[in-house]
Amino acid sequence: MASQEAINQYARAFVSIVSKWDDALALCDEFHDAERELTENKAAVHYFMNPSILTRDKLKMIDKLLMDAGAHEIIRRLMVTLVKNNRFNILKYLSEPIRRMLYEELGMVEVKLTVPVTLSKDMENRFQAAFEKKTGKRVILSTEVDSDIIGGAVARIGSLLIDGSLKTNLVKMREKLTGELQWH
Amino acid sequence: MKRLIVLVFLIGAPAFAAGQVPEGYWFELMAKTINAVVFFGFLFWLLKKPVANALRSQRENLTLQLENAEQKEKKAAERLSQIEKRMTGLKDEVEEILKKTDEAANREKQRILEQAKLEADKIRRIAERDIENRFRTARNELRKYMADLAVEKAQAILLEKMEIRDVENTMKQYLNELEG
Repeated sequence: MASQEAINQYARAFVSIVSKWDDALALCDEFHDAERELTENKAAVHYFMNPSILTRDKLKMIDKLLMDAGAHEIIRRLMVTLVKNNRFNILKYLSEPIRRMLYEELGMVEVKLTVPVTLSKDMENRFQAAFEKKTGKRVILSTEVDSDIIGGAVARIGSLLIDGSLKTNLVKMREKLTGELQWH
Repeated sequence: MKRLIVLVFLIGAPAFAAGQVPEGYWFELMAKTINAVVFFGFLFWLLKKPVANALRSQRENLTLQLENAEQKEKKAAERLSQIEKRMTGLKDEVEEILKKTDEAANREKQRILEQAKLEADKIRRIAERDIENRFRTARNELRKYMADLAVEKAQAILLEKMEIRDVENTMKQYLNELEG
């Protein structure tokens, strides 16, 4: 596992630059796409992780790849730096902390909402407004449909979990019932 | 001596009484008597000491043997007395040993009974506890099973009976709680 400290350091450096730009969120998404393109390509991973290949050649290769893909200058610079410092191995762990730090920097929060059926636009807006009111931040809402939760909804805001699903209520009811039955 | 003279006359008495005493009979008788007296006197002189010694020795031996016999008898009597005493003591001792053995046996019996009772109590307590634990476990398992079954049934009913509108209502309820 790559060093968390190093990951946070690179993510913080990247976010401190892009957060001042208007297209920060788009850059974040672009970085995520570029990262996936590279880390899901086995040949690329093998090449950039190979210690017998000269760093100079790796730098030329990554630069060429990103130029061809039309990647943004800042993304290219970050990835070149990673290769130069032999830190290609932490690339796949960077997207999440970058997103989290950027949201934090921009006064935003990501809310992952799990619901049993697809939300109507009106409901989605109401959820968005409710979460923004609750967190006091601009909310990036992502929804996921999971019929297993039966009813209600589950919201994850960072490390905070607000579980109001019927499935969880049933589990709680079972625990309560089992507990009560054992005491009597 | 007197007896010897009387004896000599008695020997000649039958012949004298028959009235047929030959001549020289008395002289011959006298000579023979003297001869006999001399012979017996010599014999007496010769044998007196050894016979007396032998008799004395025999007497002494007899006395010694008698004394020994008396001593032995005394010792035997003493031993007999000791043995009798010992026998009497032995009887008491045997009775004492029997009594002590009996007491020890009773004590051991009591101890074994108490030990057995303690063991039995212990085994009973363990068994009771074990039964209670098993009963409690079984009861809890049953209750858990009942709870699981109840929840499963509730879930099945919810899945079967709930319509989209109901599901949306649960989401609205969640949203209301979030807003509220």
